[in-house]
Amino acid sequence: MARPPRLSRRGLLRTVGTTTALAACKPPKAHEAAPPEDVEVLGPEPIPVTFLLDGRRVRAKVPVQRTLQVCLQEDLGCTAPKAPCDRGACGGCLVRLDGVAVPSCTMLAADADGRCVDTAAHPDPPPLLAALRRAFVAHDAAQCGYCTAGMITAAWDLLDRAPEPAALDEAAVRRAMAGNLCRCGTHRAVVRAILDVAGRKETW
Amino acid sequence: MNPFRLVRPRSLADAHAVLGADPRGTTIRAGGVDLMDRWKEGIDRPATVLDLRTAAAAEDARALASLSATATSLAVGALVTLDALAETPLPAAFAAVRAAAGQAANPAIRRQATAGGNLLQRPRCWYFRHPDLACLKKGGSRCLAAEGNNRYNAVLGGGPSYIVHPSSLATALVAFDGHAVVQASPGRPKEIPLGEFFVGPTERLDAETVLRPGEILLGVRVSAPAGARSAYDAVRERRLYDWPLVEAAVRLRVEAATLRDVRVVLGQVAPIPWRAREAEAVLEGRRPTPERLAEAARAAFEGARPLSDNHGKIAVGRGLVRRLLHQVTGVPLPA
Amino acid sequence: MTETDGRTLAPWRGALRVVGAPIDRIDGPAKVSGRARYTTHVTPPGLLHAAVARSKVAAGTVRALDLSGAERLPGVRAVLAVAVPGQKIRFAGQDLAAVAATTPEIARAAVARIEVVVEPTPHVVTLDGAMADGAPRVHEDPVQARRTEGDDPTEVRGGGRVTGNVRPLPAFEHGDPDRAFARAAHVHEAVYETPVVLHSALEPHALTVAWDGDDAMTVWASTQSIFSVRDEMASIFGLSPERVTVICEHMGGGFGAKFGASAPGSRMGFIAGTLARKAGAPVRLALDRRAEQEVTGNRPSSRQRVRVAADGRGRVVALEVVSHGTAGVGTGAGVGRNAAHLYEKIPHRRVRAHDVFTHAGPGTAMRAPGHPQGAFALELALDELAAKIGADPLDLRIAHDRHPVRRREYELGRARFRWDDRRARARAARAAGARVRTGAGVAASIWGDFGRAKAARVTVAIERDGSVHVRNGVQDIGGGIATVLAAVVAEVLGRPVERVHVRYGASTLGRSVGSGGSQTTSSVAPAARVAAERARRALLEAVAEATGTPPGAVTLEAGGTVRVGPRRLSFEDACRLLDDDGIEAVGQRGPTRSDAPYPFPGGGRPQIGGVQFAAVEVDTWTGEVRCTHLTAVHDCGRVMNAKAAESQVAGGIMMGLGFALSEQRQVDPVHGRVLNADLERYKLPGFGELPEIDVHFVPVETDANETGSLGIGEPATIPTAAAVACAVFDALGVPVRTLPITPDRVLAALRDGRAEAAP
Repeated sequence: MARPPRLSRRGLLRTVGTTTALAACKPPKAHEAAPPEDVEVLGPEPIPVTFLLDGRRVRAKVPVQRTLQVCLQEDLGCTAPKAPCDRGACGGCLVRLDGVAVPSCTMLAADADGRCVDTAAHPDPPPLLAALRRAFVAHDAAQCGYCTAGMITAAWDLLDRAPEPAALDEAAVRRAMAGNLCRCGTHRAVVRAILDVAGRKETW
Repeated sequence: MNPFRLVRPRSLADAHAVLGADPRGTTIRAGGVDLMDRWKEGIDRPATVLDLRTAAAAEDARALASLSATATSLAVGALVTLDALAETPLPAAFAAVRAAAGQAANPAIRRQATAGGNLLQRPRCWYFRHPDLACLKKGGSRCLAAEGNNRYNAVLGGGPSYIVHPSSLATALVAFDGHAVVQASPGRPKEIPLGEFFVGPTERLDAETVLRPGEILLGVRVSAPAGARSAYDAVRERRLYDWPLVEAAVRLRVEAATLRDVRVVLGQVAPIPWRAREAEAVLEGRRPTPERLAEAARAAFEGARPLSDNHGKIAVGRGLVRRLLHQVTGVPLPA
Repeated sequence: MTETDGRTLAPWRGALRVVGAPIDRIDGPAKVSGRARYTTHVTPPGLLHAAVARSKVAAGTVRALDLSGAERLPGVRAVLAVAVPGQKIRFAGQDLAAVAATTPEIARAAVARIEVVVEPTPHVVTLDGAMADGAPRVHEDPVQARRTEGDDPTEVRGGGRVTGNVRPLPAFEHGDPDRAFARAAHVHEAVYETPVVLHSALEPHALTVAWDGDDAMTVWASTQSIFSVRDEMASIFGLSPERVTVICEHMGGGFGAKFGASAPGSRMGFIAGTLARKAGAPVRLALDRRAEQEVTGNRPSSRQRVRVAADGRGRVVALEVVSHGTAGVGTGAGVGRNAAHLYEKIPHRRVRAHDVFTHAGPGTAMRAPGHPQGAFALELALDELAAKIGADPLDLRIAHDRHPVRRREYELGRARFRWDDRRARARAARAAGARVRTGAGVAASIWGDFGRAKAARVTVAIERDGSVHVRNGVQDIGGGIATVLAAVVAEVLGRPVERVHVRYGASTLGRSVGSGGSQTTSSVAPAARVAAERARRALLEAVAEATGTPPGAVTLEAGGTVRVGPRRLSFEDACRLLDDDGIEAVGQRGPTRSDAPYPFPGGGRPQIGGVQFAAVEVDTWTGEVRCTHLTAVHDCGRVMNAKAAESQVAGGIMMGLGFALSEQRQVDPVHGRVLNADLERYKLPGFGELPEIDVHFVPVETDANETGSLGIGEPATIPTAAAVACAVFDALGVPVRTLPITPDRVLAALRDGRAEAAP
């Protein structure tokens, strides 16, 4: 297949986001025609994983099929990402993997190996995360609280990666939060809290 | 979910070597979203999982992770995420592709899920997904939806299985001429026309495409006539995040006030992305009047054969196509 | 220390310093930082993970169980047969056997190796099927209604004789409906249907049991009622309740499905406790989403034939609802109080409801059991009658409602919502045959104050260091009761809320109520006030004694300053005068003292009102419905925390929107399995469904209890779906009489409407 024409630089950067992220934590070796016996194989026995969890290096030995969410909760005692649906359908398990919010229940713990995982439970919250926490309390955006860490992670991701957070309108916030379910019905408060933080960048 | 061997190739050549050793026993994984669902339900029990993403940075895998476009062509690597596809500005001709990618699943899934994985995902039919029910597509003797609760199943092209193709991206891509780029071993990939890539249950029950074990989907390349425009839209029971009840993509161009190169594709109504050729015929070479658009929308579901619970899709689909045709042709929508 | 029931406490009057203000919830920081510990976060040493083998068929007889495959799997520590040969299976998902293993993965793998032979028998999962002649009988023996703290405690109990699968519920009749219908000038009659919907708390049911010797255990549970878990576990295992400690630090939602040691369709407490005993190690049983949606309760369906009649002068004279619904193998498919008691000026009223048994998981109380279903059918039928007689739906409601607060709420809502404008615009768009229509609808809520005397023992302690502590074993299910405890005590003692430390969520902290029936606040807050008033008195007495001041000369001023004759002491300085034990006072709530402002049916307690106005936008080409605006005007006595009360209403509205537009359990008629036992095809409302919400509270001063607080959780969700359905009717000119109002149903209603209108 001929090499495709390149997009603009901005488009390209966005496009290869996944790849770049992979490379950031795990520099790929120069390509060589590797025979299969040289290829890295994990499992089926339990495997070791190591990653940066909220800025701290953690290790665990997990069944190869264990999801990142289960690893975080059961092996590492991290209480933020939960698994309300366990199918990526509710946002309750969101983590930021190398800075991008993704469900931790649809990926393997092995996928986090060598990478950076950040959660709403970050013990040294960056100013934005701290501001979101304050706003969620102030707007009463947590009732039972079970969806809240996921909501905050989605919001954190949205505002952290938005070129101009103050320009986000309510429709944009709703779209960004669409994958986060809540049964208590905190939606209105969540939107208000996020817009509040988005509009006051000076506080973070 | 059973333990498996997780293999991390560092190049496409690595991947082919691993695949070649055991093509049937090796599951190719990209974003892994749909795979994880199937593993959890016990629908698939993988022995070896080949993680294509670890090969993405290699020189020989360049096509896998790249997205490129000109005014009339679009190449989407299999590992491009839906989010990247939705957020990257594309030429107007491919607006339907962007929209379909951007409305699929939810934001977090879109950041993990890939174009290739989306096109190759298995049906979402609740019988297929149920761990305890053996539907036709899982080796059972008959389609449980046909005799059961089929609210979300096929109204067109069904039988003997009545799944609907789950990929919104596929619906949008089929609105263009193009190919799936498939590689069976290192070397020159083959190109399969998209119209032949997706296959229904009369041809295959164990998959929804012609892809065979050992083959890697590298990406999709589509083209559009100069001056073409396109649009995608869907009706959902939950507005911002839901599997569509019905979806549609339209591509056409307007030449001397008449419609040309019209393509209308319906999604979530048939086991494959469904070309509504009757609707295309109503519009091709004609002036886009409100009456004509309404007639095309009606024609889109000509020949629909609903099951017990899904006849409602037809009226909803007609309304959707009609609205979408107004939007893409610029004929003002009535208030 | 003597008890007081607060009989001597003067009611609060006027605005207060803390209570009723917008207060940040005290558990907020733990929740927003992801640090809050829920049941599955508790990991006692040696914890094992349980999984349950569940029936794959909807009806049958267990013939044999073979657990050996599971027993042999390394990592499995205990295996338990829950079903026994000969036992009947009545719904898919019923417990068969269970295992405890060292990891969740092994537990699931072990369950897959359990072989249970179930001889299938014919089953029936649909309402029509179950009511048909010759339908398979779901229950051969008389059925005991299972009631929980989630049910309306004043509801008439019992049921009539079961015929086939149909069990009549106690009927209501007022006046002579038959005669009134016969004489009426206008009669509207139609059938309204609501589906089975699922509680879908984001935290599935979970329970961890750790035995402490043979006669004591600690249980961590995701529960709406710590003490019902305690009492049931004690009963199951023959323990003294005092030897069972139940802890629920935080819980991820219940909505009616989380009372007692077991889920409504799974013996979770028995399973976890027995496995833990067998394995000699703590066991956690956390349900996965599929089990959560299939066996842990649901809101029963309803099919309601409604007849409503008006006389020649536009007065509604008769109303009849005959309802059949299914709570699966369970009971409780009634339709609430709405038709019977909301519009009391309708002189002749009759409600006859029936449980129809099906081979499906049991229903249970779900946020205002019966009411959202009843409201939907009643209010839409009223609007259809109003259209027939040319009446304005809002005027019609006000004309037939006696509740003074609700009547005021209607009027307030009329203005806030701009009812007349919206109705006029809808009429114009309808007349023009517009593609996109708007519509406006209104509906009401009826609920009772079920706050209970002496149900909660709240302890307030003041330490020598000036710190103030409140203790009660209540669980905070997200309604914010812990914050209310802090606010009430802060109010009485003149302290800032953040200086009051609250401990809650454990059975060791003093008896409390279950969080059901919207009774938590009105049961617990008064007890907190009584305790705090006693602590305050004790503090002042102690200061008087220590300073040799006559008792009457020591007073507590706003801000917590203690005035001792001419001197002023800071609260902290005053507390230093206490002896080492400090002060500890216990309070309980007194009996309900007033039914003001208006009695709930049966009398003796206040009736809570509330009205909601919905505006919708409907695309008549695609059938898409969007609720664009919702004005909610509610009352709950004295609001304890303005933030939490508003959140309750906004949340109730969201739940109501799901009921209105997207939620329905889907069951396979052939295999009897729930097909959407997930959060993907079971469609909870999301951010796309959020309308502009305007919440307004009508303050009501009632002396019903020591804080004047009444409930709000359930009233907040009762009218929503009904108001939306009425608004859709307004937009289309034809009703959609089946929930949820999905695009296909909208288009079908329009088509049927056109067909009816055609000559």
